[in-house]
Amino acid sequence: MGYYGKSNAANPALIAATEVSSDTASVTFDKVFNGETNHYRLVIVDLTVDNADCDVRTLRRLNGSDVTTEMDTMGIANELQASGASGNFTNATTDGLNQFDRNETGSDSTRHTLSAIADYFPNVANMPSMFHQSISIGAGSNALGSADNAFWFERSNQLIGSTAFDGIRIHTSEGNIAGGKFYIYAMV
Amino acid sequence: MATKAEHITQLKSDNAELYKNVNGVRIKLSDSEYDAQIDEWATNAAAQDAKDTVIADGGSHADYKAIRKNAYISALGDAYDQLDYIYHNGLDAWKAEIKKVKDKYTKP
Repeated sequence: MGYYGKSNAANPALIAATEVSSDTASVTFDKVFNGETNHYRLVIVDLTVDNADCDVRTLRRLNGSDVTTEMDTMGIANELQASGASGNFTNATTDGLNQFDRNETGSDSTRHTLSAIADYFPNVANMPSMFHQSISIGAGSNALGSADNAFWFERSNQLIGSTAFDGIRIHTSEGNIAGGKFYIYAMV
Repeated sequence: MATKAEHITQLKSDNAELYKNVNGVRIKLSDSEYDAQIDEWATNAAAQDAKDTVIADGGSHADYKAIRKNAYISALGDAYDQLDYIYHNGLDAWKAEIKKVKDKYTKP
């Protein structure tokens, strides 16, 4: 039986990382999806934001510029509560924008922290696409409750057409990113 | 509800300068990048204000059909709770409560 993971010993390779500890309008990874692999993973840990009532979002990059090509997107989200029911988002198109939450990072007085995993297929022959899972919860809290509710969010999207991309920019709808750890892995 | 211009003024007051992190390097935004970032934030903030107003105040807003629908459904409440309300209060009382929601979230 062949061993498919021989080239990287079956381990994801960390190819870029940065940690934000002071206000930053955006975190950009340019030219990281360089085609050596087809599958990359962005991991965000403990992202916090300055402003209340904003969402965390991403734009794809190509050659150092934002990619605003029209994109199909669908998602599902909800608040993690006993009575919570999932909310589906109708299929929609955006100008390259992908939301990582739903205006819940930083939306209450305790501030929320967001962690996320996003898988990218930026340079495949068909349908450059991505999907992600994220969760936000009151910073410093491990419990669910009225002031510290957790929110989960899943979304998948694809660029309409075959526009490839080689990077990603993480930012918010309003205000700075206050902190967080960001990692890019090359998978397979 | 603040206007976009008011948001711009506030954002510039709160952020005399802005930075970006590119491939691990912290870089101060140029003047044009700064203006573009403030404008983007202000545009989003004004749009969020408008959405919040629809949710809070109801009314007829053609631009926010989905938002109004979600707020409307949320205000109606769970179907089982409505049945329980009917059981305890009767259909006329239930219809009066539903009418309040329908009047608040009118169709555009």
